[in-house]
Amino acid sequence: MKKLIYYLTLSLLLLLTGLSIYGAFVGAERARRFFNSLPMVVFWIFAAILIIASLVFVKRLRKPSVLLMHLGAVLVILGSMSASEKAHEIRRRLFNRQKPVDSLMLLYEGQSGNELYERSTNSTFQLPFDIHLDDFIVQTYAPYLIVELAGGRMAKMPAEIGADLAVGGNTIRVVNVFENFRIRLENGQSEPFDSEESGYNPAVELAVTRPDGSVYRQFVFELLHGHDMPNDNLRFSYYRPVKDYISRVDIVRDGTVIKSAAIEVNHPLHFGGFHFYQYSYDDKQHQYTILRAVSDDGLNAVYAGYGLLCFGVFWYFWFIRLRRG
Amino acid sequence: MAVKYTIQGLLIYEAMGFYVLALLLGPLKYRRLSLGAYGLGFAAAAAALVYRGMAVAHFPLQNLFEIFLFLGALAFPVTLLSMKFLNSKDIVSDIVLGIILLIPAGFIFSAEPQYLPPALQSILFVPHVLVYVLAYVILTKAALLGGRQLFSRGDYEHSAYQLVCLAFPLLTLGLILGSIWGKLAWGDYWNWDPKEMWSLATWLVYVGYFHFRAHFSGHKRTCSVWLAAGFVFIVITLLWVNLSRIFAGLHSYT
Repeated sequence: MKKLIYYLTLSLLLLLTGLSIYGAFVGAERARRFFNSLPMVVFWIFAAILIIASLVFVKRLRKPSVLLMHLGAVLVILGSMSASEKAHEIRRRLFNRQKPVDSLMLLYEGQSGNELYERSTNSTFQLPFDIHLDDFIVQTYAPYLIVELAGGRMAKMPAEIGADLAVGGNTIRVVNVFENFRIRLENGQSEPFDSEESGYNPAVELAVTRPDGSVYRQFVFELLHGHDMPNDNLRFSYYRPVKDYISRVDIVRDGTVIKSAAIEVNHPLHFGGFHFYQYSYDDKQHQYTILRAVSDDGLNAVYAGYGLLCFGVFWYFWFIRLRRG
Repeated sequence: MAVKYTIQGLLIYEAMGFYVLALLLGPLKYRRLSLGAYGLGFAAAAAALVYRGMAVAHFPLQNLFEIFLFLGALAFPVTLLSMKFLNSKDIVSDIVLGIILLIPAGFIFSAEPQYLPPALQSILFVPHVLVYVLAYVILTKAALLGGRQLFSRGDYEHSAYQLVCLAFPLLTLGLILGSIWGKLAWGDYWNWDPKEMWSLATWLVYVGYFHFRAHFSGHKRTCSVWLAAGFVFIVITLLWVNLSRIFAGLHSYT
């Protein structure tokens, strides 16, 4: 029996290694489908049973450290199965439990909503609470300009008022910075201004002094890259690299705010059996945010499995094997 | 292949120069001097890392340039660890490893600073990459010892095994931290991303090694082949996945 378990384990490990390599080649989406397919469900169940059988039949695997790491692996497999789409579907059918695995919610600033859209089933679900988007903020690193000269030479300069750069005989100076660039007519002349109305159109105004001493004005826009003037050898691009995007939300139930949170990348909100993630946003006008709601079913089992696996591995290898020499 | 005419580049080349000096002094029986030069090489590599960290304003483990710089600097601490805990007296293979690891940082990968994207601004960024980098250096050293086992008469397999025992928990921790980080950043603790799949395959190779060795510890050459396979998987995970367009995915920024 021991020999059979041993050879099966080794075969299973080799097979899973091979399947992982296959998964790496086919891309994430196909790999996800493949590893959640029916044959693979059978594979995972068999793997869990094999680990449990090895713990029953092989005495030396029942040492506490080795036992922990193997039980950890079983918990990770079972937790992942419980978190899968199929497990959600089974619970939906058997217990009429309406909980989407992975869904999206689009919210405009100042708007509340409770409707989740699940892409995989093309259906909607109602949350028993509302999410209100108070504010959506995009933080950027220090903005900069890339100046491209004829011949492909490039120079970088900060996009701050007063910053200047001497390049190719030209002198470039930033004279104005706009968050939401608009133009109005004043006394028959067009005049740029920073609009406080909703909208997003960052721009900088440059004063460029040519080698012959003549000066011209140039506007460079973030949303339209590669600006140049006819007969000039300079080409400008304006960049504001995104540092973070944050949705400030309130959870509202029966008209009462029961929780306020800032949802950002690496900082999801956990509420009502879901993790809410900052998924996407309106990158053109910064008017709306898209939150992703992921069911937390099975997650505790997976994390408990991670804990046992990690603890067992360190205990066995560092404090037993290495000490023995 | 491009030479870096910067302070950053100078520090890397200085580290490589000291490593080469240590390598030359070793066979001449100047062991202490060799170790001293090796230590100076480490100091230069560490200075290059600190300089880089100050230039980019975050812990320098974001891209392959920074990773290889870190790997090259780690060779010396790994030697000290091996000397203390494994009674290893061999420093030559570690110095060679240090030089090889610094070459990509010195001549191949661009040192152009990059902004840290939102996903990388996590408390798990440094521990996840750090434990992986540590594990990779130690496992590479184990593979070198495995190679010696294959091509010479000495018995290096047990030392290689001890190194794998040292590195495997770090590899496991790296995988788990990455998974938890993926959950926090992207919403899934497993995204089936090519880098994740290769990392899992690498981890499974070492799990397989332990299972094989538990039953066939006498098959030292086969165990060494297993370690060589592990090294190949590490190279693929660290380099091929990031450099090839075949494996585009969530880790493409690294």
